Amino acid sequence: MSELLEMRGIEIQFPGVKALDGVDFTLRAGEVHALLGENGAGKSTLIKCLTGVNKMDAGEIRLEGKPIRPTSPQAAIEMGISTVFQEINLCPNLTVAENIFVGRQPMKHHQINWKEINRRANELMERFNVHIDVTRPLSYYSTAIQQMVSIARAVDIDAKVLILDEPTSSLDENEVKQLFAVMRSLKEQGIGIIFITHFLDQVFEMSDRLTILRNGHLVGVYDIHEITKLELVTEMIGKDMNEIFNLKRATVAEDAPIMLKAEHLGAPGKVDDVSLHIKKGEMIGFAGLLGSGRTETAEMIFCVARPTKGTVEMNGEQLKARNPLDSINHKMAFCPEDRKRDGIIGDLSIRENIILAMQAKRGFLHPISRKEQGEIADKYIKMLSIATPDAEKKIGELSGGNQQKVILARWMATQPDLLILDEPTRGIDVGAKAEIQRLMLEMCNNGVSVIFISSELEEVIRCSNRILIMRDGKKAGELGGEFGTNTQSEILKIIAGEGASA
Amino acid sequence: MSNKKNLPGLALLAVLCVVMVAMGIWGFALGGTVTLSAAELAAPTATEAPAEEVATEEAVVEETAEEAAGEELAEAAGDSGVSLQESAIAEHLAERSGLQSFAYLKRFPLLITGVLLGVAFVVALLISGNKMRMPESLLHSKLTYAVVAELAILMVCLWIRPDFFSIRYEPSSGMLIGSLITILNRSAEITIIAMGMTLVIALGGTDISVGALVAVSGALALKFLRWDIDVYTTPGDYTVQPFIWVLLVPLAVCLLMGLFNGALVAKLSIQPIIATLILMVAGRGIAQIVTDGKQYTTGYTPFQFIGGGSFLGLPMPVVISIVVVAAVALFTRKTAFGMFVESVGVNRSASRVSGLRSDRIILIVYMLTGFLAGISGLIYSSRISSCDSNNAGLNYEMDAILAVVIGGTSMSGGKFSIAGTVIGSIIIRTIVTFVLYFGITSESTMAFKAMIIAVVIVLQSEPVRNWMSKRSKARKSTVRGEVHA
Amino acid sequence: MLNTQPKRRSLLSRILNPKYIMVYSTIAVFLIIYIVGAIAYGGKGFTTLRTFLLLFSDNAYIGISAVGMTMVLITGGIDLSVAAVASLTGMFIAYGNSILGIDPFICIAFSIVVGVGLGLLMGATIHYLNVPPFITTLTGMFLARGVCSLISRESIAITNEAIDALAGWKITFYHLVDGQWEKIKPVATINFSVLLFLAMIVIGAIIMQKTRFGRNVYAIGGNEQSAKLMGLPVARTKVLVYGFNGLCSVLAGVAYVLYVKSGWNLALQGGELDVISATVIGGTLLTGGVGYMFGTLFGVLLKGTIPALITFNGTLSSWWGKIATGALLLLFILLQRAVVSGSERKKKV
Repeated sequence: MSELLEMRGIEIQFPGVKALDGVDFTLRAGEVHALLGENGAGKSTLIKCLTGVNKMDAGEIRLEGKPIRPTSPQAAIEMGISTVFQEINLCPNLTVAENIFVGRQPMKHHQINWKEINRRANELMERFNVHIDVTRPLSYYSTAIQQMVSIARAVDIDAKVLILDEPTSSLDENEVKQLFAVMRSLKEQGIGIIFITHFLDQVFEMSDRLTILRNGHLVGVYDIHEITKLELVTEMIGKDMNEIFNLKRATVAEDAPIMLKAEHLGAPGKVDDVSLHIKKGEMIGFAGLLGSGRTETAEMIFCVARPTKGTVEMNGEQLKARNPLDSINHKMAFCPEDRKRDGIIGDLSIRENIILAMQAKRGFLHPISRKEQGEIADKYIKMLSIATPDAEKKIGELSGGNQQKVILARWMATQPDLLILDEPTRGIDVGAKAEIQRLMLEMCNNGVSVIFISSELEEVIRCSNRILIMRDGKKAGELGGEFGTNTQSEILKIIAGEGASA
Repeated sequence: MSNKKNLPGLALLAVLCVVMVAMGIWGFALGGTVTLSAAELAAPTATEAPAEEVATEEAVVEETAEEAAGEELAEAAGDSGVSLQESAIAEHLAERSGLQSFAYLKRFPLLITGVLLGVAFVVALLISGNKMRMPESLLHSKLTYAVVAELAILMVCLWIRPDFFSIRYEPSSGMLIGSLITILNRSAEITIIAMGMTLVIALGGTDISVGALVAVSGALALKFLRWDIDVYTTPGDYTVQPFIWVLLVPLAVCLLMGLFNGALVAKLSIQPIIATLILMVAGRGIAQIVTDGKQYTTGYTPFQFIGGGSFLGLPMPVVISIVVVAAVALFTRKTAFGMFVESVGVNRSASRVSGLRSDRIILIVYMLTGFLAGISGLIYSSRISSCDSNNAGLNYEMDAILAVVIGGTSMSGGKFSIAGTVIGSIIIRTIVTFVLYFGITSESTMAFKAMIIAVVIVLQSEPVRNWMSKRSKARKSTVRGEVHA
Repeated sequence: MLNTQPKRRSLLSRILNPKYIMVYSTIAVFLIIYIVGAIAYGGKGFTTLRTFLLLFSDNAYIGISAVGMTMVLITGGIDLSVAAVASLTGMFIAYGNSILGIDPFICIAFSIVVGVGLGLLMGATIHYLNVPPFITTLTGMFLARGVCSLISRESIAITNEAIDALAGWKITFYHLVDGQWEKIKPVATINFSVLLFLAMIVIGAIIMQKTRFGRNVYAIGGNEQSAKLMGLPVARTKVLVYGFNGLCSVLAGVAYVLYVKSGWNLALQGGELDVISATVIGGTLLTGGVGYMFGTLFGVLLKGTIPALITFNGTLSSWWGKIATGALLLLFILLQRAVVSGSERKKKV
């Protein structure tokens, strides 16, 4: 089979971090090629490079043997590279039919031929086995159908390469089956499909080959028959490189009081009946793949998202008001997963970002004096070795690792009893990672309970006293006590759905 | 950190200082000998500030009475009417004495120039925020452009009228007199409203109802002063309802209207422009219903004192605006409120996770803006001793938003600058004064206002600033390269 | 499930398409108010054809401008300069004709060049310099108003045969009585401005529904980022929309001149608000992406009905009109909010 698309030695440098380091990728005509890796592995960067959103610093791309260099999504589309992004890039106010044809509507007598548009759109959707009224606005339909519409648009433009970025994350089983049927028929037409997903079952069902990335590096390219699910998960999650730091797990006294007790938390479509409790000074790790409900559970405990059922008790006191401020007042703290969206206040200084939660707790009428603010900021800048000339620099100008440290400092300053850390080490370099782990353990030893969520299994195992494993919005298992060398494979089995619940 | 780093910024200001002082000396030297040309004499000018001040006030009272009669005229009232009188009186005075106005020139220009520059310098220092990184922040700060623009306009004013910076004390009225004072006085309403607007814009919103609220506030005040106009047919030095009602009710009503705006924005998540459009449209109708469509006038001296009185030599509107600016600055900067506003304006979601109650913050800000619009309305109606539902506060929302934007606060929310807004408001008024010097009427000042504002906005716009900072960086790196070579 | 949605393409389903819901509510509210007026003041002649046509001719200039405004609002922008540009047009015609003695049609042509030019300039500033539309068009408004006042501060009357003829020209309605064509009493007429208004509505509707340009306008309003990713000419479309709006403002100015036969620097002060409120009442979302010319037509009529009702009432003062407009705005904004959040909820399930 000929190589339809060839990417060689792709390198992309972001401020402070190398997002892609010499990655190769090939795609053949008529194959489904899965691109795998945890968050921050570099999948989306690679795709953005291919679609002209990011500029590459080194490397070359060849399409059907000819070197290309897409400069914009539009240029990429013209070359025959169509992308369906995870977030739907369509106009919700236009009809389904129009979304497929906008910008290239068939004309008749210098007028848009609406009949033709609707007819062809209808035909296209029929072919996808989707029976809807294409004259209704897109926003009228579910995300699943919107996803299908974006695929229809991508395919209807003569595509040679179709990139599907997490197309199934919002689809149910039947919808996924339909999508796969469509993908198979596209495959037969000789279109090469790059398929990005977190659902391993789907990878094994659909793809012909797979490429695994980790931390911006290429881990390997496999034929689908060459690799087992377990091997795949191991490759994706990988071994942690910084065992040299020799961190010691926190010790928890047998009779330590229970700090947090969450019971039967649940919200439809997110999490189903999760209960847990944490002792003083204990660290609990949440393991599981993305979308397994680990983040959602954390958000419900802190009440960023309100659970529809269940109760949360902190220090024996039931939380009532249920908003983040209430949680803060009950000495909880939460470092969110999406640092950009829920963490940093980009235009404000490091100092202001650090004291924000503390100030929110006190209310604006009891300001922390400027001098005190400076002292607190300087203290944490020193303690967490945040790399900055002074506390007045805008947080938006810092590197990811340092931003994360500032957010951590924000919560440490409130002196919490329970600290929830959602992916605190994602997308930051090795050194900063180790430092954050060290800090977490230090806090545990000072009597703070920690919930630690991470995609990197190795670090979860290394730091946690107990590990809660999530799958499909449910608690799939819990491991405690001493972790041995085979703990990782045990967890992987549970994640892959092969092992029995412990 | 080192002093060397401060050099470019300091140099910039130093050059400006030198130019200004030179202008001052030039004006001083000319002061004794210059004779005004015939053309200049004929041009309506605002030279004799004292007479103008007093006379204008009187003229306005008469004028409003006239206006009440003719409906056609009423629509042309407000600012335009005032300027009509202004220019007529100035013309008259200019005829009477061309040279007298320079008599007091010798006393003050250098002093004032120096003081003004000192203030500008300190303000620039303070606003650049971080004293440590002066040159960068000065070059990147939108506010720098505003200050430079203001200084430039003032310089041109000085060039046209050498006595521009003169201020003198008028013992009979107990007031300081001079163009600069007039500018401050006339900009008071906008400055006060713009304080609230700054916070609204820092939240990423806009409040376009303030102009209508000014009308409502004025109408309510006059309603309480005259109450039953059939019984108290002639305006005089009396008030029907207790004076405290005259002040409190308009402010309370404006506060509630602000609450209405805030509730639509915070609780129903309606776009701020649309939410405030409702009161912008309905507000003037409400004002007219309050006064039954009539233009009440009053002669009640305590009320007239708000707009026409003076305190420590400064006109009351200036005093009030200083108090308001100080209060807002203290409220936002000495409590954590300012930071909360900025935080919600930059990233509402992250602010919520960090424990801020953004709804409450939005409500407070819109209520404050309504309240300040109320104060502004009292000053306006006191100035004209009347209420004018059609023209009171006309276009104030526009002027206030412009003042905020010129002052360097971004329309997309985030960091705000109280000092910047004050300067923005003064710039707008300075432009009006400046254009009056050319003998151009005040409605047409809008055109000049627009042009100068267009320049400032284009200079401040993101692409242009990026381009300029890129250029300066490129220059820096080439310099560095040479050093290395 | 993907095929739970029944396939309905019948005429009824096309009419009941949820995208028209705002237009229908505008029409419904208009009908309700009109019927209320008919019941209350039917005896005084509220229901006559003449009164109905007066709704058009009294609001023609607002309507013409609202056509452009609808387009601007659909892109998610706003234009505050419309009334000032219309007033400037009036000044150009009045000053050019009465003082300089230039043919009024040359003045109109000149106004069109200025208006469209200003619109394009503002559009370019908004798109390329990233200045918020509110600020940009506000500056445009100041500029246009200022130039008005520079030209003249007095109202200038227009006495020109061509203008008089154009203003006086009208279609009168006849009906057959005893084999004779007689004028309908009270005399109902359609004048040039009304024709221009209706023509602009039709042209606007054709642009929005039948051309790629129009559909791009909707796409930009729906999601500008997506529109860019779909490869639509975002920059060109946005700049042209402001240009077209400039044209509409000038035509509105012409209609206004025909209405009052004079140019005045303070004419139509605050008129931009009337135009924006009429458009919003007509179902156009200020957030962009949704709006129909048909809705705008009824929005203008609905807004025009209120002063008409107040006139017919006779005892109410005219300022109730402003409050009623504000209340209508509130009603429609809340309605829009409910529709939007309703559809969001539906999607989530």
